[in-house]
Amino acid sequence: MATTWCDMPGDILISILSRLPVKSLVRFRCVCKSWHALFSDPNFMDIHLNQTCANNKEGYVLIHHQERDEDKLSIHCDETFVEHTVLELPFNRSYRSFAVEGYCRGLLCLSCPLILPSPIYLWNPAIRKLKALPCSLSPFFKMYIAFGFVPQINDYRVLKFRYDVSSYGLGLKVPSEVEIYSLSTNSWKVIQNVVPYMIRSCCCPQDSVVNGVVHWVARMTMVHNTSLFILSFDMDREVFGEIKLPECSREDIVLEKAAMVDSLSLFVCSQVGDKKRLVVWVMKEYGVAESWIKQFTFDWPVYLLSPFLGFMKNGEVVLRDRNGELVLCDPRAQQVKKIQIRGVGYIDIFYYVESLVLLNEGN
Amino acid sequence: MSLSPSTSKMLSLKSSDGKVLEVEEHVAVLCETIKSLVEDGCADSPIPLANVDGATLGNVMEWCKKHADQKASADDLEDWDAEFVERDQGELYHLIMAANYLNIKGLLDLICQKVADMIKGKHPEKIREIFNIENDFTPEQQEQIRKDNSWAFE
Repeated sequence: MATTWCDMPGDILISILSRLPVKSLVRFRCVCKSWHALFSDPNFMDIHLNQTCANNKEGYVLIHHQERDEDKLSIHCDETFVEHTVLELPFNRSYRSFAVEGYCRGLLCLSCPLILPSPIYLWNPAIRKLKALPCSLSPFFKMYIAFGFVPQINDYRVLKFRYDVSSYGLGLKVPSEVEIYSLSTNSWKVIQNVVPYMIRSCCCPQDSVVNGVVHWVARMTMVHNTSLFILSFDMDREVFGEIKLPECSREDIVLEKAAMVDSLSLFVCSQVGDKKRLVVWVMKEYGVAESWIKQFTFDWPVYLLSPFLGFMKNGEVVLRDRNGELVLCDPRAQQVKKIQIRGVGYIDIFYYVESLVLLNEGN
Repeated sequence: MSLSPSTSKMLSLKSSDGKVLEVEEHVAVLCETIKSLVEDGCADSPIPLANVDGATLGNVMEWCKKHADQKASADDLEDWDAEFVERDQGELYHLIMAANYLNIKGLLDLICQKVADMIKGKHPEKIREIFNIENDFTPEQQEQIRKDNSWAFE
């Protein structure tokens, strides 16, 4: 019987292998040369990732927060938030603190803000591969980083802004220089046509990459009283663009973050009497301002801190109360429940899936 | 053409070893290959299936019959499928080849997943044995891969 399996058509073998956990595939790299080459092939990585996403009955989230003054990265069930695994950090102990600049497809983009200029890494915890990006063309001091996958060209890109420090103020920063890194060429390049936009400093683009386009809340420089809009940067075509915000009172409303569910969405927070009101807007058709719809409105007691941490697949929103405890808010039932995770300072939450990206990189 | 159970007629399927199986049309058309023949009016009786032996064809039609049953709930099907795939490697292999030939995506996915679950914890040596693969690495290359990925062998 053993002789028959080798006659199987290639696409069936790929269908079987794409259903294996990452750890098995890494182990099976030494089965033969053709399997070794197959698992490092970007097309196979794609098939495997899609299969893993389709097969995942349980969802997982990756949480980055500080515990006893040290950074901790752990994987949790996306419903119960029970801790599943604590990830072993790839740095030596002297790097006590790092920033997660972005996450996609099993890959984290990390920086070390305490070191200047900060090194930038791509890290795939599932296969324990860490890649230090080459030094950029001009060593930036104050950096602003975005990371994402560009499906059109099957490449991962890191975007780096240099702030123009003299333009600080009003919580806005002007990027005076932009560089973009491509994983496929492993090199940086300078983008020349930087336009005079001011980006809100509180606005973090970690989760705002949709179809290879990064988004920020911004306004034009040099023109006072201009309204806010969404600034986009297409990491494939390497051009900036502008998207209109939905019709909402700009005076009272604080735009917290443009985040990603499946489409571009906005989390808008405002004070209404003694309560805080959260409104989530979703852009149904990408780039079409008329397609903004109000997804839900949620009023919560002031004891909750406003920072928005993430959307869950079931529509719930992760927030943090004033003791630093994470809470899940269900906008349909208008209910809030605690999830037994605490953290002061920053907290990052991402949907996590294991992938093979970076497998062909050296150690 | 209506393929609903109430109007379903019987189709004869002939396996590679000459066995003829009578199957209700609405069950048999879960095989895309047979469905195309029926839709094109080319479903000669009996339909010759040169790549599927009689025993495997019986197993495939058993699966199709269960999955054509409108009354079966998703949970029910899941439990039934889990039992259905409890087979030895030889039978699984024949089922995969038949599901591929007859173009039954649901069955193909099910067996591929079963085989993946079966092999995922195994050692590379065992995998070579199952798939009859020749090790074309030198002992040094082999050792290097193991060393570089030692965590995956724990």
